[in-house]
Amino acid sequence: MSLLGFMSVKLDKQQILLERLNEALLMVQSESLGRAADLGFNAEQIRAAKETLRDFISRLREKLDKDKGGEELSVVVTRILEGQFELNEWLEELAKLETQLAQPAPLPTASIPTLEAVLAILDEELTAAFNQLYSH
Amino acid sequence: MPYYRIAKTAELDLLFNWLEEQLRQLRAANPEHAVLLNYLDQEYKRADIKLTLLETLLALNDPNFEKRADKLSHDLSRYIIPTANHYVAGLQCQGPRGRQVRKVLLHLCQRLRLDWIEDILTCLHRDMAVLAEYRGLFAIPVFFGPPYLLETILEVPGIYHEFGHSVFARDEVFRQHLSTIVKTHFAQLKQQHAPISPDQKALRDKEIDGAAASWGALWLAEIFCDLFASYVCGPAYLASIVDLGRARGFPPYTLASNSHPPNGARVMTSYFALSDQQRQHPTVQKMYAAWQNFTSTFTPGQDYRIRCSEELLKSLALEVNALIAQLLPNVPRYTKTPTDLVAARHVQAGIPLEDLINAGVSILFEAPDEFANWQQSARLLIA
Repeated sequence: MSLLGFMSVKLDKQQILLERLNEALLMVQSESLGRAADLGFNAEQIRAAKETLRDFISRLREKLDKDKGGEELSVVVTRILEGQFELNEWLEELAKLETQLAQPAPLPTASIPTLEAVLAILDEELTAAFNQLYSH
Repeated sequence: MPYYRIAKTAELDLLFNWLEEQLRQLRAANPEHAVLLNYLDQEYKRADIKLTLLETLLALNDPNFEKRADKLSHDLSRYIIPTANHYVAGLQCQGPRGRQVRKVLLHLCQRLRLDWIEDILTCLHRDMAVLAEYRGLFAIPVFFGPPYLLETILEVPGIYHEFGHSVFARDEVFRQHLSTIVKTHFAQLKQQHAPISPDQKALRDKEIDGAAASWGALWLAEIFCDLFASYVCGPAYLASIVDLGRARGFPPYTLASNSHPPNGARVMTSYFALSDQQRQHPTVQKMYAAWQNFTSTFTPGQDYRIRCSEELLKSLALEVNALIAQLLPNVPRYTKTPTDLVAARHVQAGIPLEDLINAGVSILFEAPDEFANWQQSARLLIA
């Protein structure tokens, strides 16, 4: 198979994951800012969105801590380990986030940047791979 | 919100209108692709809801949501590109030849019990490849192939390799198992005691780590597909991969590309995947001899010997055979030995494609002077 086939599968998996997380973050953030109703999100959707993010953060923490879990998180883990923050700082931050996302209360707005930082890594990697396959 | 976001969203809106119209026209022009178009419509509707959400978000004019709006916009752009480039363009240019190939491929998937595949779009303008997954769906792959596909028997086994990608991509367990075999193999290799100094050991460990690293997701996918093809079409795939390795004359122990293991490893793995009875068959022995004859003028380097040791290749072949049998018990293994010459000369309409290509390689290796004439008539039996 040419690289097209392999890359397209890889891209599709990353894209589906990122779309799910982007949408979940929008719902969670809209609740934190008191604008969920303006965007038409109900309580059940927000609860499910928190669970989506919590599950992702939990898997990421597991992968960072014990190198367990699927291939989809390897890229994020590599980038985190190469970054300027210590592994322990990340693990603490992610554990805190996981706890907050398990609560029925809105996620504190101060926690949004951590989620954004993780999703930004996925986004950058996906965009780079996407451009490689579909560049002008 | 800056004007760029509003303008970009308006552009997306235009593209969505174009896409909706294309899908409508394609449905009218391609009634046989109703299933595929149903999936495309379903994904279009989902994306369209997201576009409405983006428009609502922009209307809030809240700077706190700027990043979220950008991400939604990126997601929508990344939905449109593969949908338009592969599916819309593919449906627009699929001619009668493509439709004929599509039928052959759908029959093939039916025989192999790749039940998750509901429709196939064929694009005959490039080398073989399969887009196995679209928006998390494995039901509507796009199959790419050269315009002369099905004209030569030796080209056909490559199709089975391509559908292996659908199997591999659909279930993460295949990659996990193969990855474990590779990791275990190289870890054991490191532990083997040898009378060498600590410095030599460190150097050797580095070589082993490098070899292990080359078995990334790409190589694992490709070797799985070789093994899948060997599983479902038996000796014919070995003949095809020997041909692939010899035809271009590329050194067998050198990397031909970053995406595939060296041809030497691919041929040997396909050989190990055959049953004992198939391997011992005289025609298969001739295929193997043809490969050995080609490779005899090359010497594998130390890097190849570490990366692609016979022990590792055998383990991969045995494990994949067992995994397919366990996880996909309905997928039929091709257990027949090569067709005898008399039967191969008299293949008739209605013969399964796997039997036909195995008859073809019997003619090729046992009566090569008959091959051209045989192929002229046999290719008409491909159905």
